[in-house]
Amino acid sequence: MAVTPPPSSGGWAEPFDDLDRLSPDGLAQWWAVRLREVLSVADGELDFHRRRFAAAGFEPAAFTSLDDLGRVPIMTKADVLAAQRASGARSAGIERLGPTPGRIVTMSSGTSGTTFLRWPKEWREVQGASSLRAHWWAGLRPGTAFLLVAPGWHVYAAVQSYIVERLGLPGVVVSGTYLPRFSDRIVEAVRRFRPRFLILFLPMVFSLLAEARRQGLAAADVFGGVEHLVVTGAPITPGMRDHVRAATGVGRVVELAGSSENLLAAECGAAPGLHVVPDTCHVEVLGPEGGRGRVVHTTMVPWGSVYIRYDGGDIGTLDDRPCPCGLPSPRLKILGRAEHEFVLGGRRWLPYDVQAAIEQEVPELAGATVAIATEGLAAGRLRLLVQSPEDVSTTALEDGLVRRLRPRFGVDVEVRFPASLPLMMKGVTPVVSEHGLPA
Amino acid sequence: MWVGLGPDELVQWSVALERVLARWGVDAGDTVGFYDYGSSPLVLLSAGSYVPGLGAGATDRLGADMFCNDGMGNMALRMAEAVRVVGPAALVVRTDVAAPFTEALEMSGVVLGDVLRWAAVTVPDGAPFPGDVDRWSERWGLPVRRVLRADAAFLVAGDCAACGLFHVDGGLYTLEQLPSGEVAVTTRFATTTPAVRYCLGAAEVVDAGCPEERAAPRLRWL
Repeated sequence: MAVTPPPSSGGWAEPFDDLDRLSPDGLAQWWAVRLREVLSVADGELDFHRRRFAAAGFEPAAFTSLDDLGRVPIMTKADVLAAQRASGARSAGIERLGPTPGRIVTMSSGTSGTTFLRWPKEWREVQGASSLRAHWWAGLRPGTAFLLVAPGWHVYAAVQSYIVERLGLPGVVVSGTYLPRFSDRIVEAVRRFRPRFLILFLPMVFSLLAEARRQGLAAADVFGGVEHLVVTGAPITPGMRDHVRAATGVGRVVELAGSSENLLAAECGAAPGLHVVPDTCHVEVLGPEGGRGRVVHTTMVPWGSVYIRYDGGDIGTLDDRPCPCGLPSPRLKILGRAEHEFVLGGRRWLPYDVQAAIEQEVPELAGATVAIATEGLAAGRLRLLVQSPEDVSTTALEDGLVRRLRPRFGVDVEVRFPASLPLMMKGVTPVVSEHGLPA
Repeated sequence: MWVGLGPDELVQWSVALERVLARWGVDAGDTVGFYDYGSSPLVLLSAGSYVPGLGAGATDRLGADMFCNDGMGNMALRMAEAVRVVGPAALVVRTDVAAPFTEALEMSGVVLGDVLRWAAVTVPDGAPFPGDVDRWSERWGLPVRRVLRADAAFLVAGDCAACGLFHVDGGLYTLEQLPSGEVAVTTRFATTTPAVRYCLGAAEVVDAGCPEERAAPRLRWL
């Protein structure tokens, strides 16, 4: 399969290579063949998987189609952490390391603990080419500077450097890291190097806008040269997308979702959802057909830390209806983390649902910083902390929220308007305790 | 301030780091950890995976693996966990996160001396104070080395356990004692952004002759 990108035409759904031109059925067959290879490698070389396959009575040699995937045991982060603890020496038994010296170790953190993943050069070459596909879909083309935004502990750092190398782009490194305290120098980098393609963790978009305001700059002074703004790290609602577009002035805002364990999906822009990047991963959503459920994914790159049917704790939907853009892979929408689910009115919800409901019912609040108070959930109510937009009556907002959200969530709704909320909450509605937040 | 580099210059800069790490004993099969930002030249020059155009970085060429924690103080507990799980042979720590890191090690029950052969400390520009190094060495229970950096001039040098001075790679850098009591460096490989007679600050050029590396020009950082 050739991976050389075609000449740039700037089209959103411009195929990256022949893999993008397969039919959905053709892609399913391609996936089945590749999965069989991955499963065979795992069974032959990786203790963790060999033991689990045997315990589940699964024979990789008997794997012939995607229908067989359900017989492969599901793994979780807790399984990897347990293996990491048990091994006591550098591996969890899922690592396939090639002969090329110089591997990097990256980290996958979370409330349940940190796993350490190992990536050889062999992995970088294959994964890098696949990730380039996602960036291609998102609009990246030769001829632009590229800001290397990933922190060194994150696997994306190795991928983005490959992409820059492969497309021959000038790579820009800003000292420090992509967190709000370094916004001044990131703003300067964007203004100086004028990238046409910019990828940022969603809250950083707002940090850069805040820094621009502090410096007396308009959004166009910072984002004026950006044609494709890729936001990652949080599922964005339609209203948030519109807000980001309006606030930055960038014509195209693209959501890209990924994980350290080789999940990758990117929007084409032609239909809702993010196309699964087929040579990075195969994705299942374990739930009712077309409904939301646990996101389970399997790497297509049998190098480095090999995750097979990995339930990373995300909740999402998977839409396998044909997409107008012509890409064959299904569209994934991650909606949040299972650990952030809560129950109101006898139903399970995610913070995403609250944010989406707010922007639908009270459009003036699209893009506002909102948090959900744990104290309210504990009392069976939806208690919202809302940073009110300037020049809008909080009385009217409160009335609208209370009146319109009550029937949607089936519980009483309370609203408080703190003087301010941390900027890092913007776009990523958290569930937090009110204690410690500004009055 | 922005500086530019092409692939060949990146390689030469990483050779400077490679020689420091090799002199300090990093060998094939080792893992080197960095508690610094991913944008630190020490991190970028270590692994070809991190920086476009480098190909093989310093640890790659030595046959070693590497990892990097973010350079924030609030990542100290994760760094302690990385030491416990990954088991690096050596660790490079930016001095302003050394204190939270030490606290995190104590909270985690990780004894650096049980895991590492050595640690090194670095600051974004210049070199850490020797007194601080002695303190960290005592707290961590292992030898602590010092890195000398001038990122604007693409200079990386490491101190020497035998003579206590910084060994500078004479093939990559030319040192010049200035009448002011400062030292200037000219970086031979820097062509995109030339570094000619870049003033490092108060220092003293010392003749080569250390038994550990007889030909290396040396520098006493004041």
